[in-house]
Amino acid sequence: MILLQSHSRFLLQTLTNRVQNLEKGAELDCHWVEFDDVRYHLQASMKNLHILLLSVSLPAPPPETIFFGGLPFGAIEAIKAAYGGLVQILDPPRDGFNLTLKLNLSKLPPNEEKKQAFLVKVASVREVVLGAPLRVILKHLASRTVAPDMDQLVALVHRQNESFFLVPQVDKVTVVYPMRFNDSIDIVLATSFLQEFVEARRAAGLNNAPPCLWSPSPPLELKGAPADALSANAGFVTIVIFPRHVEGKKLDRTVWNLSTFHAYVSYHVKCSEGFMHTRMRRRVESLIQALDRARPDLENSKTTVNSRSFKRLSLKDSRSNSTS
Amino acid sequence: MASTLRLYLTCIRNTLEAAMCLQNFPCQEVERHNKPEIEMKTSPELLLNSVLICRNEAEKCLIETSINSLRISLKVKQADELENILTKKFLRFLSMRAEAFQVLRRKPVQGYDISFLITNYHCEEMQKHKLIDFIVQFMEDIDKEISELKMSVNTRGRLVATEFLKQFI
Amino acid sequence: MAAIAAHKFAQCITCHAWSPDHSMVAFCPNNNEVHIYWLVQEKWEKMHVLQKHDQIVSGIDWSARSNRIVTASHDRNSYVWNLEGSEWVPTLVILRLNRAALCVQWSPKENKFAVGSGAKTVCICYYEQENNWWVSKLIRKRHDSSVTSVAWHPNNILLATTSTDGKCRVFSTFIKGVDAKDSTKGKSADLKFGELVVQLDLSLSWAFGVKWSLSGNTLAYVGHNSMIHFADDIGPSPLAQNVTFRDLPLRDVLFISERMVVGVGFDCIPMVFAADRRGIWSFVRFLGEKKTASSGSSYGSQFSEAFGKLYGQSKHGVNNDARGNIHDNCITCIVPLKENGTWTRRFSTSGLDGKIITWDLENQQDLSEYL
Repeated sequence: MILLQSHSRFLLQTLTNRVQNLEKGAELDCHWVEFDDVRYHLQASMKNLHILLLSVSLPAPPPETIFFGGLPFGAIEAIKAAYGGLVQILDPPRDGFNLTLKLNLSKLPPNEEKKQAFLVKVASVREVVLGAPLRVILKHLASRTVAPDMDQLVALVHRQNESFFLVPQVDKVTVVYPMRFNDSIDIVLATSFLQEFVEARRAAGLNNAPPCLWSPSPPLELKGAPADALSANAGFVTIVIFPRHVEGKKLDRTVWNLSTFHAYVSYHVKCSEGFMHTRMRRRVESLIQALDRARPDLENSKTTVNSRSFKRLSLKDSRSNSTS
Repeated sequence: MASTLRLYLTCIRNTLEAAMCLQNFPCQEVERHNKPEIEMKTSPELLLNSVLICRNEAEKCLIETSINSLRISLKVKQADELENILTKKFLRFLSMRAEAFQVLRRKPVQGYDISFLITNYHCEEMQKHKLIDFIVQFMEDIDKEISELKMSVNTRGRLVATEFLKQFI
Repeated sequence: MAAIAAHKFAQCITCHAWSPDHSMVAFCPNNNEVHIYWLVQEKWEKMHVLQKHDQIVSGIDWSARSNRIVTASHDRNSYVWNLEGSEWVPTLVILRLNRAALCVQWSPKENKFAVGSGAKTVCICYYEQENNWWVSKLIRKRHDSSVTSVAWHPNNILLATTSTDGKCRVFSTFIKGVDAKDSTKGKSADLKFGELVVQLDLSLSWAFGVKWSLSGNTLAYVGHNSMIHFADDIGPSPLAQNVTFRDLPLRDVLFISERMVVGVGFDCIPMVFAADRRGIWSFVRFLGEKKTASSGSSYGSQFSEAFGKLYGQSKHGVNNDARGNIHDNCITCIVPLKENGTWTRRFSTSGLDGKIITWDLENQQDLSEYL
């Protein structure tokens, strides 16, 4: 799996199981965490097996982003648009969470395909909520407009206390990511990967992909951004999105990929390190074996002392080799 | 480039053939002690002249010999930041396994990336020419490993970027 | 082939010595013990284990007439062992050393023995009848580094030493009451104990393995820089010769005759040196095939070939004989076995591979002219 999928596999699996065994369901009270500090809570009580409560906690937004009532702007509308009347937003959400949805499983569409598609959409609640502001901006791009009352530079939450930036324009949206990593090795690997984004686009068949730039210092677009945003140990990635990238079905995909850019790079940096670790371990093992070969055979040394007898060579041998 | 590696390694091998003529030698400074003289350096007459073999400005090998021990220190090429961290990671990995390696010195000599300490006891337990084979193979392996790791990072990076960008088309 | 017998006794042997009738061998298996093995019907049986030292035993010598073993160890001590019944009984020798003892040898008359030490001194020990113990007299002066090897002149008075300061020195060890003053022996008998007769500064590196020729006319010792040194007319103006060879350094030497010396060391095969009729020494040959160059070095490129020739790696002989009868690791000790009048026909070598190999030069036709 090279790309991150927009639905939570665990959530989807749990929902699917639940729906398939609707009458036999038991109590459910489940907490889990996903990458970039998104937490979930799923609950069902014995009293009413058809009702599921799904709560989501989002990463803490940095000050420059716009959050209303604990949710990014446009989130409520996006939820309503995605789930319709099948989902109810509880106000206030459960303690410690940004959002709680009440889901009635008996009201799901009877058609299997549609039912499954809906469950997948529920499992993609993260994309719906966190991607909402980005979706708003990109939807306007698709119709070559800019949303009203939009700042010139928009900050959206990317990870815990980190944001990424958008410059929405009529004909394009410029996305800037300040990239930060904790580990010094991660930084070097990530930098190497990020520079590939620039190189890869030159390859055949990718002419229509969004142009990418990488620079070690903040690009011009970030003029006016808060100081915190301007420090990034793995440089700044700029991606320019054109209307063709957000037409029709491509919108959802684009929103997801841009929302989880850091997670994607980070995931592959970690995979790379794991691979290197395995390789290095194998190399070290083979070197140790080479060193062990330097010792005389242990078997031979056992046949000395008491058991081996005095070895006398024949005179014939000594004569033939006397001039060697 | 490959031809200079062969020459470099052959030169090191031949120097080691001569330098690895070690013998058990008790300490002259402290009674009943037996320490590697190349580390103690308290009796200068027991030390031989060091030999420095340079492949180029960035890669070199220092061989310091004494009567009962010798040190081989290597400076490995690190052309860019990526090679730098790959080398550091690999060498740190090795020094964590120093016990299994026996001949590896826990800390490299100042100015070098990795050091071996070979004593007369190693020469008693192991066959000299095989020990030299090991050192030379080690040097070839480091070279190879860093190159291959770097290539794998670049390849993976290209793949990661391509797959991501394809999503937008 | 010159090697006539070989046996691997231990993983590593430090030094060895033979009993007077050559039926038993005593050696140190690289620890603090001395093992004595007896050859019974072509099989070696372990007879005794001498355990008294608590560090490695660096030197063993077995006197031929009085059947006594003397051992010296890194633990600064030396013991004289006497066979009483079937047991070897040790007597501690107070060497008065504060560093390791590195080598030991009985004098020709077996009334004294010399111990070289890491304290840069030499102990000359003799037996004091009244007190029933061995007394040590020290030669403190002159050595600037550890004394690696000692050798007695046939006159029982002169002692040659080598040191890691690179020099070979000859001292008088005349002890009143032990040695008899004999005016016919020449001026060497007039010298006091500890007097330096001559200091040979021929080596640029550490000196090891000193031996006198059977007549005492010639002295030979090795330097770590792959050289062997010969000196005649030991006295105020000795005649010295240096022979350099391309191979790895030697550790010990043995005079086969007045004009032939066998050296052993890091090349694992004994080397024969001989003097021609004019008295000029040179390397003759190895006693057997030299081991092949290490497996990885045959790269096949023309560059490495050239380099190989420059560094002397061109010996690519393959030893087809059983590998058991040659040493696989450095040879550290060479001991004479049988004297055939004026020359030593048989000798044994021991080394870090734990083997003791016996050699016989009887059938080496090309070497007979030097005997």
